[in-house]
Amino acid sequence: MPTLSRLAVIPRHIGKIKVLVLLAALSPVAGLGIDYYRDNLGFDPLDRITRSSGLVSLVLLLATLTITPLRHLLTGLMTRIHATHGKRLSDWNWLVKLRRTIGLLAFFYAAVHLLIYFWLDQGGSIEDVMLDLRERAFLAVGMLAFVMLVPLALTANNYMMARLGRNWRRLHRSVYLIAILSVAHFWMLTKVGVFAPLPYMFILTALLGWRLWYSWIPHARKMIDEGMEIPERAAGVYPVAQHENINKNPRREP
Amino acid sequence: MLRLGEKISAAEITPEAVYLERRRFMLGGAALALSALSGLGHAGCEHGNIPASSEPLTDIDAATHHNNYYEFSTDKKSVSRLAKDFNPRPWTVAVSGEVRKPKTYDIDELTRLVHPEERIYRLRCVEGWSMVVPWLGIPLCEVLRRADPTGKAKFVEFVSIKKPESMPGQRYASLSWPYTEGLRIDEAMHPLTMLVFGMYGKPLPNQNGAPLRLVVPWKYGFKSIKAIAQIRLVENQPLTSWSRSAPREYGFYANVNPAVAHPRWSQRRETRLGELSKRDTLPFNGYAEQVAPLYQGMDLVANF
Ligand code: HEM
Repeated sequence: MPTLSRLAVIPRHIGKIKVLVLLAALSPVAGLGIDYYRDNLGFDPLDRITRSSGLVSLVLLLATLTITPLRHLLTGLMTRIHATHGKRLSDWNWLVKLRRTIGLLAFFYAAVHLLIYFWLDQGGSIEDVMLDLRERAFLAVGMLAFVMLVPLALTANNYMMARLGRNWRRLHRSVYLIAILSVAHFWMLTKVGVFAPLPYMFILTALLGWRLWYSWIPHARKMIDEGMEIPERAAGVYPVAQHENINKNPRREP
Repeated sequence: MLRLGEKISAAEITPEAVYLERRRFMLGGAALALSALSGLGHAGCEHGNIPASSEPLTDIDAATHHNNYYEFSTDKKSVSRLAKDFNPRPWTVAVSGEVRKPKTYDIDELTRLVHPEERIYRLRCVEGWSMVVPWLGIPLCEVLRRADPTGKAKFVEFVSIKKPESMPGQRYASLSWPYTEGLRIDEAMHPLTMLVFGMYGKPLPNQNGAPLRLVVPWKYGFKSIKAIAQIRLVENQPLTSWSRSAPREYGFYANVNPAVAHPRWSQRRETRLGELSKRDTLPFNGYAEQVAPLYQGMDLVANF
């Protein structure tokens, strides 16, 4: 399969791919900007920009969670079709590199979302925000999600990865909780009779289900362990001791 | 059927007629006075001091394309499209219950009961947006008075049409159908409460509640029921659609009150359609002077 083998060159172009992802993810903001100048934001423009920024943040957040299962899925798929490339998890490590970009973009949109709320909805009054947080529980839940995203964004760099070692992964696992809080935020703000958060809830449930299966069932873990994802390695930071044994046992090709 | 609809637009509610009517209205509610004189021997309807509005009108496009009308869709942007083929003729409105003179009106008879008035009201949605609309209609009192309510008539229950074949939203149980609303009798008789069949000098568009809707400007928009088929005078407080579906979120009174938050929407501020910033919400949507006396001594936090 010559076409498929071309996949092997992707990692070399990771820089360009990151730029593409960045541009794609920034297009909603650009779209809102254009609509703003064309006076095309609809009849309730504040609601429109608040909601779009929140929704994009949630979508990107969920996208970061799909990276790991996606690597497993692609590895399985390539193995099944006997592709020349892509049968090892490590062939898909470049996807892990995209995860940081996507995660930071999710944070960026959450910050825009919060700023829109703070400046335009609440007129920049911290006092009013505090009152509002007490009045409307969905805001407190959204705020908690945002506050929890801050340390993740601050440590999404090679330096912090190396410094935190194994604690980095522990810290970043909180993204699952953040995603749960975000979907809860969405449900809580959705009016009776509307089910807009449903698809996001399904996707999150599937991702959480996969994660639980992956980390709790010993045999499943063993099957996958050989190519266990090492974000530190993917990011180019060399692994801490606990991962050494994995590197010594690269998956053998059949 | 369509012919009737056209007739009303051409003959009854031309913009000039509206304009003239407005002049007349501003000159002291002459139309109301006249209709009160032609009353049926019962106490006439009060004129009240209908506040004049100096606020800029909401863009007609916004007011007719941003609709909360679950009978068609829960998506405000889709309602106008989905309501396009709804036929508001023929239409009857039954006035019944605790009345001595129940009557079923043909819609075109009802709209000519007294001379229509144009009134510019603010309408505040519970979701935190609002608009300023020139409505065309008659005081509800005129209809209730003619029905001659008995002493047992303490509340008025309004029931919308149920027609799932042309109202696609009714095929889902997003609310209990038909949509039901209610007012206390004194609220219903209040001079600000209107039965509306036109807006912006034109017949009421389908998406805004054709052929007949209620407008109660000091209450959240969901009280202003659309496509009214029945008006019943009753002894007990009716169970309204929204109170039935979420009793802790939507009270019977639903007076605009910045001090009582809804779990999802702050009621302290609101967005005028088309604006990017918010403004303060006023108690009773700015109609406190006219309606606050109705609620004297009542706990408006408990009776939200
Ligand atoms: C990780 C953080 C957050 C995420 C992922 C998030 C996500 C969302 C989503 C998906 C929506 C609904 C979008 C739609 O209807 O299409 C939304 C709406 C909203 N969010 Fe957030 N949100 C977050 C944090 C916050 C914070 C910190 C606040 C403010 C304190 C906030 C305030 C709002 C408001 C006011 C709305 C609109 C509600 C309405 O229009 O009725 N969110 N958010």
